[in-house]
Formats: sequence, structure tokens, C-alpha cells
Amino acid sequence: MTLLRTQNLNKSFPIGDDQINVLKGININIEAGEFVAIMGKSGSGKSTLLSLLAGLDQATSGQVILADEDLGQLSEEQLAIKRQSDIGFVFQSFHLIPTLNVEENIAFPLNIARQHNPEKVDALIEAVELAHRKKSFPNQLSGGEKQRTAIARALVTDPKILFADEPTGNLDETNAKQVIELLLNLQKASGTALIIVTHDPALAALADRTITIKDGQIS
Amino acid sequence: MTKGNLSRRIVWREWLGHGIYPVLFCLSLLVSLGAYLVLDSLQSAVDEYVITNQKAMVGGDVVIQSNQPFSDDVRQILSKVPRQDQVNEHQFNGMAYAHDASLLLRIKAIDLTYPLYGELKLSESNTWDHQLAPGQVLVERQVLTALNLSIGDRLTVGEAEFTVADEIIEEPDRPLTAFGFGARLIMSNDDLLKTGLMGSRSRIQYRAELRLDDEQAQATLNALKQATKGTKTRVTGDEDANTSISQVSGNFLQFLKLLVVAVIVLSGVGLMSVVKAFAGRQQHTNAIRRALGEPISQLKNSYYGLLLGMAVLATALAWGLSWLVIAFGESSFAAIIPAQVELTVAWTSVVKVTLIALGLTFLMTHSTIQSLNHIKPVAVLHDHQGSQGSWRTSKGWVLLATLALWALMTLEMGDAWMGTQVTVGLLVIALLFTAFSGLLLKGLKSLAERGHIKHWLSKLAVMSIFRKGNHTMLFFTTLSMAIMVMGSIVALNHTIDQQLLSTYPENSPNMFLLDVQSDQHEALDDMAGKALTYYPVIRARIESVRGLDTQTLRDELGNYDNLERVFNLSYANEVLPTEFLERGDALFDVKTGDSVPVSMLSSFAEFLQVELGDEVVFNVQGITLKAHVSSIRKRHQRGPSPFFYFVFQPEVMASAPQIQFATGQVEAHRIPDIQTAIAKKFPGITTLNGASIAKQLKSYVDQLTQLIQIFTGLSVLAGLMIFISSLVSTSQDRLKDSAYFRLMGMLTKDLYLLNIMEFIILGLSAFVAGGSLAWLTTYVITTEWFNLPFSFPWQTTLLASAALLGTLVVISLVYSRLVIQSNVMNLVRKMVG
Repeated sequence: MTLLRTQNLNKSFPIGDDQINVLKGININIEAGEFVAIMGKSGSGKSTLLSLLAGLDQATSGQVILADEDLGQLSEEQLAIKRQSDIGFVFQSFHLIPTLNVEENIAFPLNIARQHNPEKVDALIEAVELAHRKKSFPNQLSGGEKQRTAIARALVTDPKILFADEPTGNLDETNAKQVIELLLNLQKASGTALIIVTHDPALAALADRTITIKDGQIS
Repeated sequence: MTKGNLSRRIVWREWLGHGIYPVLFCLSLLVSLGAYLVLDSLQSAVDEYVITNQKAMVGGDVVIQSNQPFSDDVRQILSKVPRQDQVNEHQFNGMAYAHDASLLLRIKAIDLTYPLYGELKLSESNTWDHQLAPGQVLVERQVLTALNLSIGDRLTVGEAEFTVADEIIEEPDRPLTAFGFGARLIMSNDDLLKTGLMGSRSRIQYRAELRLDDEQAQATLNALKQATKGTKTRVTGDEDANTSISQVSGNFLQFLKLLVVAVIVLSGVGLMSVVKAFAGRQQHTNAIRRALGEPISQLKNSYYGLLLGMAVLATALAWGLSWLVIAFGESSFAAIIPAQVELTVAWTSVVKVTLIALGLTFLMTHSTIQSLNHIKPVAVLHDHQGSQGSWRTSKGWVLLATLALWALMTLEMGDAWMGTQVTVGLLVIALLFTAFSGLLLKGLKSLAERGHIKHWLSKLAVMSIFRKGNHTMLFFTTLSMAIMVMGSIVALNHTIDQQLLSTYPENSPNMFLLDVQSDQHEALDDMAGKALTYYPVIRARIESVRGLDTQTLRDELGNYDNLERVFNLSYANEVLPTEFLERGDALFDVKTGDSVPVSMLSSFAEFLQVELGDEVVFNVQGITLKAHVSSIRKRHQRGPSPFFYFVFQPEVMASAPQIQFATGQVEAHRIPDIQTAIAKKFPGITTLNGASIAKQLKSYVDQLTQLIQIFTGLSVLAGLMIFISSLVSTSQDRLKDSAYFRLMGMLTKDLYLLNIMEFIILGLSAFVAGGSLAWLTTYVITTEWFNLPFSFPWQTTLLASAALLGTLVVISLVYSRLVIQSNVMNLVRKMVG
């Protein structure tokens, strides 16, 4: 079953009087529970594609349809609610809220959705092996611990799709391996679709499918 | 554990985690709200006192008061009121002496039914039982101290000797004024004639207080008003009588409150600056929150919750501060709040201040919070897209802010039209000052841009002043405006102090004798040890000027002086030594027909718009006297020397009923002895000690000046808050600049110097601009208005500039150390890496 698809997706940015076309006519289909890797060189447009797929930004033209809903037709607030319920994120720079501890960071997406599920939060904390660190703040965590917290936060709302932007980019090899293992295990267990943007061919090799972007187009 | 609103928790922890934001926020509000709360509480305390003691303060249900004995018609109406329901009073200044000391008194002779309402509190017997044996008086503490007396001792007033029966602690109907000449002595009307003072007084206040039921009160009020129509006798009911604190105190309190309203506006700007800096710092976290799907309304609400909560906290702190000020600084308000008013922080004022704090916080931070709408969640992926919308003053916001200011002013002035006028006035002044500041700053910038500043560090410092987001204009305008107000007050006070008070003017009389008789001249000269100068005074009213009656003149000329009042005329053969002829060949020309020559003082001639030859008609105690202006005189300078608006030839006025007063210059230390000797020999004469009055006046003026300085000083503090918050909001830019300079090899001391120079150039420019305007204003006021030589307050100016410089240097050092030095190398390493 197709969870996410794009139709002739274009994105351009104004640079002075000119327009730079970052993405040109992208058509993708992502199935529910599928693991897809997006690869490409720096500046190829892969992060821009991720931002459009995740409803973080609006396309210049074309459509992004997630669970039968055209994201281009949604208002900023409807998009926010969509991200609350259907989408999870894992970022290269972790992007944890510095003033919330591990437990609170993981619970935050539930909190903004006016939900309260401490059992779920505790289960995820256990799953990412951070029970001993649940009261720690991000500045007290190692890189691997931060990314494990981010993974737990991304999955706490049982999203339909999880986007990960270079999730191991800021980690050493051991931590990177551990994080990927954890991410894939949890993804499999939850049945969530996973889209990872990565430079790492070894990681891409684990995916069901790899999409390579070159000069704004699927090559 | 994760229960509760985590959005709120994020902003509160961020806010409290960076102490500078809550500190600046609270200080900005604390300064203005605390000051407002103090003044509003003072006003409430006075109002409360007046409401509670309304009838006691007025003295009766109907009160009639005059400077002349009551007419037969009035007496007849008064005679219908039972004796036990009325009090007749006579009040006048006189001298008392005991042993070898004498004292100026404000004597009040009463019927023993006094007071009809309220309570006369006494020291020994505690409560007044309406008993005063013949020959007994009640006095206030000042009399006992000055004449070295105890209760039971005797003192002489006029020609009679009295025994002090008790000490007055509080009089119910004494006007609520903090300033007045003469210590209180109360005697029975039955003893008044014994003093022999009634016949020789020039100014006696006759007063009757009546106790009546509502119906009788209205009928009596109407009858008295009818009987006194067209006269200067004042008839009031208990509700329309003036029981507020004296006009000076009331106006002064209102003036201070207007200053504080200006400080509130400034603190609002400070708040805006702090919140802008904080929201700027939160851009990244806000983008994460949006990326995780937090609705914008929830995100904004977390900020509103934080800021409004802080406003409530600041109000609570302001309440504490004002409580401390009132509890420990009560004496500072002695000049404007009479001692009998009990001061406390009023709950109504706390509620008012809370509403102002919430309104101000909402208004001044609304635009910044609204700019959060522009946060793009995609900024978590692309840092360059992370900027939130810049703050703009929309028309709606300007309208709302103006309306809020108007509402506050109207609330303060108690009148919508007055509120409108003051609001417009304030806005015009602020706009003019902004234009003036803009011009000066533009000049400074162009100096640097055109290469007129050669020293490279100075040039860098001047250019840094104009960094985006610096709030340079606001800081400059605020500081220069506050310095102008404070500087004007300091310079004016200094000049008056130098010319009139501290250094009593040379060759000016320092002893004044009132109610002198012609046959007393020789003896008085002997007692003073030198010839005194005597001035005859004839009391008269003006009937018309240039053929126009006083009513028409008032409509035409305004209220500079009350033309319907009694004027003091005099006569002389020559111009006084303190004056000179400005126009006219001689003091007097010849009598033409039935018109006699009169010499007029230039300031009054200007007001009346009269020229030489114009006609002025007087009513001298019932007799019409037609005069024409024969000359116009001007005083060399203002000071304590006597002067008369109108001077006639002796042959015209010498035979008119008159009183005399005398002036003399004697050694200051001899005045008390001379005063006592005069009181003993001529009890009808009142002696005023010029130097001592000047001292009393100086102390009063000093207290007022001090209060103005404190409250104007708050605006400087608010300006500094704006300055510091602008430093906080531009920290990242400053840090980046410093990192570039460091990369290029700039030494740490030069980085420090750069900041110090920037702050000093900005602060000193504002000081010089505001100070110059202040001194120019004061120069014009003192030389043109007061006719006094201008005296520059060197000492205060140097001290103030040193204090400002010191403050700016400290701020720049602390800032450079905490923000620049500790972070710059990290940034340099990042830039290189």
C-alpha cells in the first residue's frame, strides 16, 4: 500500500534575480513499512527533498501525498498536526530541546498533541537503553545517547513514517552502528516506514531500496 | 513526571537559565511600577484621609471665610444658627515672646464650641474638652521648643500674657499643607481683645463654621451666597470645600506621576528589547518545536504565559519595593504629604499597577511574539532559513499604544480632555527630541564616514554605535531627554540657591516688619541700630484699564494675575534704589484734569498691555481714583526687595487709610534679639526674618528638588536598561565582529577599549546634547524670567558626567569580560575549523 508519493515535485530558490532549481520533477512512491535510503552528493537536493516529503517546507510545484492527503493543500497549522500524528524525525544534529531532560524530550511530542502516556515513554526509554539517563539534560549526554533519545522521541507518537537526516553523521563508528541497529529494530517492530538521507553506502545497503539524487533529479 | 505543559517548561527553563533576561525584565518593570505604586499609594492615602475626614477638615456643614469682617447681612444669617452649632474664628500672624526669645505665630482665636466635627488632639489631656480658662492658650511643639517653654509656663502675645495649657498634637481643620509660616497658637475669642492685636492687623482671616442638618445647610448656604454675592467672601458647603492637599502638593504629586508614566513608557521599550533578544536566542528551539508539530498558537501561548507571569512577579516585587520605600523613606515625602496622613501601600494601587504591568507587557511584547508566526520548521535542516520575521510597528499597534497612553494619562489627570492634551504634548516632545537626536547621530555618523575621525579605533567605535539592533536612537533620546529635565532642575535650583537662598543677596533687606505705625519709626530705627526703609501701603482694587473693566480684561489677557484681587498701592517721590525708569522722562508728570499720574512696574504694564498715558481707574476703599500712566519702572533684578506695581505721588495718597511695612539690612545674628525687643515694645508689629525664611524655603525647595531628581533619575535607569538589553540582543553580532578582529590579530585590550569607547562616545554625546539644552533653557529662564544672573553648576555637572562615565565604563568592562572575552576564541576556532 502506498503511504507516500510525489508527483512531478519541483523546488526552486531565488538567488538575487535568478531562480535556482534544486529539485526537478521528482516522482517517488514509498510503501507502508518500507525502508528507503536517499543518497546523493552534498548540494544534490536530498535534504530539500526530505523537507518537502516531511511537510517542513512547501514545493514550488508538484504534489506530496501522505496517507492520501496532499500536503500542499494543508495550512501551516494542519501541517503541524500532520507532523504531530503521522511523522517522526531524527536529525543529524539531534535537535533535542536543551531545557528538557531525556524523559521530557521523549514525551514532548505527546505533550503537544495533548496526550499523556508515561508507560509508552518509559518503554521507549528502556528500548533505547537510557533508563539510567532519563533525568539527564542533553548537554550531559554523549552523541550516541542524544541520538538514541531523538529516536525514541521520533517514535513515541507511533508515526506512519520516520524521516532521518544523516542520523549517524555526527557519531563515531561504534555509536553509529549501535544507533542504526536500534533504529532499524524499532522501525521493524513498529512497522513504520523509514526514509533515511545518508552519504553512507553501507547504511544505504541495509535499505529495501535506494533513491539517488543527482542535480535535483532521481538518477 | 512528564505531566504538565512541557512547552511552558521549555520557555521558563530557557528564561531562567539565562539570568540576564529575567533580571533585565524585572528591573525594567520594577523601577517604573515601584515608583508608580509609591506615588499612587501616596495619592490614595491622601484621598482616603480626605474622604474619611471630610467634614472635620472642612470644619462644618457650611463655612464662610473672608479677609474683612462679615457684613451685617451675613451676621444676621449667622445669628439664626444656635451658638453651640457655630464656631467663629480669627486667624492672623503675630509675635509671641517669653524670656528673651520671640517667635512668629499663626494665631487662631476660637469659640469654645470648636471643633464642630473631628477632634482636637492634645498632649497632656489627650482629648480637648472644650474648656479653656481665661488667659490660657494651646500651642504646638514648635512654640515650646523655640521659646524654651513647658506646659504651665507663660508667654506674651501682643499686650497680654498667657499660660500654656496644653500642647496641640493635631487640629482637625488645619489645611493639609506641608509648608507654612508661623507656629500654631490657639486662644479663646474672649481673650482676643486683650492682646490688642485686632486693630493693628493688616491681614486677618475671619471664618465661621456652622453645623446644620441637610435642609438647613442648603438654605443657609444659599442665603449666605446671596448675601456675599459680588464680594470676596467665600461660602462653601462641606462637599465643595477644598480639602485636598494644598494646590502645590497636589500639582507636584501629579507632576511626579507624569514623570513616572514617562518612565513606564521607557520601561516598556526595555521590555520589548529584552523579549526580542530572548526570542532571537530561541529561534533554534522554536524551529525544533515547530518541526515536531507544535501548533503556533501553543508556542506563542507559552511565551505569553511566561511574560505575563513575569509581569505579575515584577508587580509583586514592585509591591515589596514600594512597601520598603514607604516604610523607611516616609520622611522624604514630608514636603508633599502632611504628617497627619498615614502612608501605606494601597490595594487599589496594587490592582492598578498589576493591570498596567499586564497591559504594558502584552502591548510591548505582542509584536515580538507575533513574529514567531514566521518561524519555519525547515530551519532545523537549513540554518539560513531560520530567521523569524523582524519586528515592525504596524499602524494598529501604534494606534493601540497611543490609546493605552491616552487611557493612562486620562486616568491620572481625571479628565479626558486634559489626558488628550498631555498625551499630545508628550508625543510632540518625544518626536521633537527624536528628530533632534536623529540629527546629532546623523552628524556623528557622517563625521566617521567622511573620514574626519582619523584614529582607527575611534572610527570603529563610532561605526559600531550604528550597528543594526543597537537601539542607539532610543538610548540617546532617552538619556538626553532625562538629562535635560534633570539638568534644568539642577541648574535652576543651583542658580536660585546661589542667588537667593544659600548666599542671601548682598544689599538686600533681611528683616521685614509688618503693620508699622508712623509714630514708631524713630524707635524702630533705634532698635535696629540703623535707619529702616518704610513703605506705605494703600489697599485698592482696579476698576478699569484703558476703559475696559476687569472682567473683559481677564477674558482678553488671561489669568496671569487675578485683576479682581486687592492690590497694594504705594507713594513716593523718587524711584526706589532697586529700580530704574524704563520709559517716561520722570516718575510723574502733571495732573491732567481729574487724572493723577501713576508709575507702573514694567512686568505688570506688559501684562496689561498699557503704554504711557493710558488710563487706569482704581477703587481706593470706596473712592474712585482716575490715573494715567506717567512712567514705567523696571527692577534691576529679582530678589527679596519690596516692589509695587503702582506708585503715586505722596500728595495723592498720603491721606488715604494705610498700613506700613519696613525693611532693613542688619547682621543676621542680631535679628532674633531685635525681633524680641520689637515684640515687647510694639506687640502689633510682626517681624519676619528674611534669612530664616530663606532657609525654611530652601529646605522645602531642596526636598521637592530631591524628589524630582529621584523620579527623573528613574528615567536614566530605564534608559540604561534599554542600553543593556540592546547589548544583550546584539551580542551575537558583537561577538562575530570581535572574532573577525581577533582573527586579524587585535589584542584583548583593544577589544575592551573598542567597547569602552563606543559606550563612552554614545553616553557623552547624549550627556552633552541633553546638558546643553538644559543649561540653555535654564539660562533663558533665570536671566529673562527671574532677572537673576545665571550661575553654572560646575560641581554637579562634573560629578554627574563622572558618574555617567563610570557607569558606562563598568557596563562595558563587565560586558566585554562576560560576553566577548569568554566566547570570542571559541568562535574564532569555529571560524577557522
